[in-house]
Formats: sequence, C-alpha cells, structure tokens
Amino acid sequence: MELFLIAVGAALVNNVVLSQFLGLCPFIGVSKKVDTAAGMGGAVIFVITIASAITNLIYTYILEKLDITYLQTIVFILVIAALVQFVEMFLKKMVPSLYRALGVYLPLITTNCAVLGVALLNVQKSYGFVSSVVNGFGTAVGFTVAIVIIAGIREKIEYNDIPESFKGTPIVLLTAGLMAMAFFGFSGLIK
Amino acid sequence: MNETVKRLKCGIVTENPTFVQMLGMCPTMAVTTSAINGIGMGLTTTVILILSNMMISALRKVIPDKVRIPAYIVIVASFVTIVQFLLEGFGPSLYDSLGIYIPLIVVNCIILGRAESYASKNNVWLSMFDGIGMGLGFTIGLTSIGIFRELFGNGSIFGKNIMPDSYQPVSILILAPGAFFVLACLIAVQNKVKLTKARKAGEAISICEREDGCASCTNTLCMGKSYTMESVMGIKEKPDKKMTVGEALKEKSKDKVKEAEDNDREREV
Amino acid sequence: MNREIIRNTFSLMLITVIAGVLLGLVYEVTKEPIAREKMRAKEEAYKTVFADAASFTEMGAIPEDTKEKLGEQGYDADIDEIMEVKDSGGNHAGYVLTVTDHEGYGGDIQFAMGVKADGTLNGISFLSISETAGLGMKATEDKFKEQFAGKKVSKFSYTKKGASSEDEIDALSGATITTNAVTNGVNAGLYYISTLQ
Repeated sequence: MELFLIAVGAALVNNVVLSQFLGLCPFIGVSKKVDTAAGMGGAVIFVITIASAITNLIYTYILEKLDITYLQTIVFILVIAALVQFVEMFLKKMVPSLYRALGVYLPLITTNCAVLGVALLNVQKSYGFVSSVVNGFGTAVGFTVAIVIIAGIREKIEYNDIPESFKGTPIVLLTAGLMAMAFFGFSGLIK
Repeated sequence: MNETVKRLKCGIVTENPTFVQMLGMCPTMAVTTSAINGIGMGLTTTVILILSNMMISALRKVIPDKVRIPAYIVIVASFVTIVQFLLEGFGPSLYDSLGIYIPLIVVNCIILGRAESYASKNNVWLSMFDGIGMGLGFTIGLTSIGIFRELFGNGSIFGKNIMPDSYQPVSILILAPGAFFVLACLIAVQNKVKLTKARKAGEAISICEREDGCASCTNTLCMGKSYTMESVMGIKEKPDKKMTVGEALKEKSKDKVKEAEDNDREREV
Repeated sequence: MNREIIRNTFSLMLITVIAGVLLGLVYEVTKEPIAREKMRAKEEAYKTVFADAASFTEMGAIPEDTKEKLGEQGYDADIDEIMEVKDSGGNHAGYVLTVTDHEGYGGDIQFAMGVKADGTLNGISFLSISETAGLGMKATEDKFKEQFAGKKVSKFSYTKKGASSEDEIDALSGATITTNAVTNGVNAGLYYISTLQ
C-alpha cells in the first residue's frame, strides 16, 4: 500500500515535469508527435527505473560503507552516464527490436535532469531499495504521461490559428502551464 | 573593443543565456519563485561557471578529445559539490531554499555548453571572463524573472511588502503553472521583437542557433557523442527564404528530428 | 587503438581521482563549519522557543519504536532530539525537541518546539522548510507560528473558518497541506512528551 502511494505520488501528485520542472528539455524538445513522445517516455521509464536501483545499491553498499556520501553527485552522474551507454550497447546486441524503438532517445537521456534528480531525491528521502525503484518508476511514468498528453495536444494545436509570436515554444509552455494547473487537482489525492 | 570587455558584453547582453539563448530553463523555472532565490541560484551558477570554465580551459590540451565530455562532467560535478559544501556551511538559508537544485547545476546546459563551445577552445583568461559574463547574464535573467513573479505573485520584492494592502496577489504566478506562463510570455515578447526587427530590415530572419534552449540543453551533454552546438540545433545555414519565426521554428524542428536520426546512424558502437 | 584506449582511460581516471581527493579535502575543511552552523541554528531555535531557559541537557537517545508509536496516532513524523530545560535555579522547567514531519508539500519540515513543565506549548521555530513560496512558506511568519504559542492543549486541530477555541489553528489559505503537516508535527511532539510522564 505504501509503495502504491509512493508510485502514485511520484507519478501524479508531484509530477516531475509539471511541478518539479525536471526533464523540461526533452519535454519541450521531443513532444512534437505522440509516437516519438511515447518512445521517449518508454526510454525514460526504462533508464530511470534501472538508474534508481543501481544508484541506490551504490549509495547503500559503497558510499555509505566507506563514509564518502559527499561524493554522491559526482558518482551518480558518472554512473548514470555509463549506465545509459551500457543499456544502449546491451539493447543493440541483445534486444534489437527494443533498440530500434528506443535507440534514438537513449543518448538524450543522460542530460535529462530527471534521472539525476530522482537518484538524489531517493537519497534525500532515505528510501530503501524497493521504495527507490518504485519511486523511480512512478516518476518516469509521470514524465511519460505528461509528455504523451502534451504531444497529443501539440498535434491538435498545429492546425490552430495562433498569434504569430506565440508560435512554437511559447504555446507549448502555455499548454504545459494549463496542464500543471490541471495536475493540481491530484494534490488532494494523497495526504 | 577589448576582447575581455567583449566577452562580458556578450554574456550579459548579446548572448544572454536566459533571454537570448534560453538555456538552463529547468532551474530558471524552478527557483524563480522569489527574487532572492533567483539571485542566489544565479550567483551560485556564476561561481561554478567561472571555476569550471577556467579549469577546463587550463586542461584543454591535456584532456583527450574522445573522453572530453565525461571529463567535463567530473570537473563540473566536483565544483558543484565544493560550492554545495561552502553554501551549507556559510549560507544555510540559501542552501535550504535552493535544495535539490544545487546538485542539479551539474546538468545545467549553460555550464557544459560554455565548456564545449568556448572554454575548450580559448585561453584561461578569456574563459574566465566568458564565465563571468554568462554567469552574470544568467543571474540578471533569473533575478528579473524572480522579481516579476514575486512582485505580482506575492506583492513583495526581496521579501519586503511593497504593494498596497488592497493588492490581491496573483498567487498562481509563484506556483508551478505561473512559471510556464511567465516563460511563455517572455519568449513570445522575444519573438515579437525579432519579428518586428526583421520586418523593418526587410531581410530573412536569421535563427539563433541556440534559440530553442531546451532542445540544445538535451544535447550538449550527450556523453561524448559527436554533437556540436550547430549539429544539435539542426540549422547550420541561415534559411534562404524569408520566413517568420514560427515557420522557421517548424522548419528547424523538422531538421532536428532528421539530424537526430542522422547522428544515430553515424554513431559508432 | 589499444594505446589510445589506455591513454583515454588513464587520463579520465586521473582527473576523477584528483577530483575525488580534492573533494575529500574540501569536505574535511568544511565539515567543521557545517556542523557548527547546524548547531548554531538549532541552539538559536531552542532559545527562541524557550526564552527563559538557563541550560539544556541531553536526555539520551529517542526510543527506536517512537516512529511506530507516532504512526499509530496517525502522525508521520520523527522526534529527532529532545533536551531537558532547566531554569536558572537548576529546576526542571520543561523540554525542547526537534521534530521532523514528513507530510509537507515540499518534503520534510523540521522545527524546534519548546514545552513548559506544565504542558504549555511555548512556541515553535522552523529549522528546515521548503514549502511553496508565498503559500506554504507563510508558515514561517510570526502570525502563523504565534497561534501555537502559550497554549496548553493536548492536540491542535486546524480550521478554515476562523479559529474559535483554544486548540484551533487558522489554516494558511491555499496551503492546507502545510498547515496539516505543521499541526501534526506539533501534535506528535506533544504526544511524545505526554508519553514521558
């Protein structure tokens, strides 16, 4: 039950993009089409879940054991970078179909501050292994939900008559703002 | 003009990271709920930017080209952690209010962007001034957005109430949606200015290669892959026909998807 | 090719090792000021919530099952520290404690609270809070904090319709979650003290 609450909280109540502003870059950059957005979302779910698990293990069994938790930022970012490369190579060799679906998005993920953000938040909230993974998964699902919704809206507003200076990024941001307001509705979901 | 002064002017005015290049949007939106947070985040980033620029410039001949991005990340992450300790010890209230966004400076595109596009090609002295200029430009951007949001969203500036009591604050501005709205209007104003200017001059509008900050943010950091600022942004040459910013943006995002696919094909395992 | 790999690996490793060692050094140097700063902030908070205290004495560790017990009462909070307060004559004057409540909108809220020997809540003072600026952050304003001060109740509750009785707190408008978190944290502290007697 508690795990379920963590997942829902991470996905809807404290949505990474809409309330924490993490991962804004791909949110705006890769949300032109629903297909690509869903692909990006899938890749993010994949990487964040694995990254949460690995950073948690490293934090508990290496950094804490050696009493060097102050190195967490530098270790996490390197681990995430290496992980993304590794996942990419692994998928290319072992699961080519999945690689074809997610491949393009993988390199873009390292820079997605949501990954590092989740790893750091897991530590800050002193989550255990399972809670960390669940929190990471929930966060990534929240990202996917947000990016797919906005891509859907963008496909529609493409044909609308938008004031010239609002074309492009501004209208996307306005839409995102309205979505953020809608997501406020979830804040009562969990006490 | 003296080159150092030029670097400062470039960072603060002509290539201002917030208003012109639209880089580092995540911290921009997250911490600008008040003016003091904006200035704190801006100055913290400035310090890190100066230090990392100088260090990367000093090591630019030592770092092998193929592993340069991981090396930059290590350097930036170290400085971020150092500054984090210093803030925790000597500026605890700022440390509390910036929270998780301090370690996230590591993935701030401005820092890696400057490392890649400037510090790795120029000497220490100029890189330092580039860092100062860009940092101050970022600080000014964050602070002014912070002032705007705090003034209308909370009726105060730097924590002091200045609006008359009868003023009902527009709280939405300091909440998450407000950040999106403020930024949207900011970019719209910028587009408007560019558009009018281009019309007046009667020439094709040239697209700033790093205009769509978020997309460039995604890519500058992409782990030793062969992306450069130009290839990331998709547009290498200026569009030859006259087009509006909206059209150009559309054009550019088309190119971007294509570019990403091309890069993917080119990449070696 | 091989030589290049070795060269790359080596230089990257060298940079990382140097960075690690440097960080270790800076950590050692700043450890002291950070600890001192935290100490100072806490002491200041204790003084604020218990102005006429002459000395604070440690009371030993908080029992392991405290969090569980608080959970049974419906509070998601931790008691981080408790100290006994003595007046200038060396007599027992009350307690100060540090409470962390986990229900805040922007994460944990940590505050110090002082309780007199007769159970009167002396006041609260925030140590770490990251609520929404302009809404939840209004909790740190005196107007909100003073509602808790000088009241002798066993449990506070909050209302949006204007506090009418001693144990009611006016909720911060637009920040019910923050109000709830602070109220629950205070209640958890009061409950913990009641278990001491």
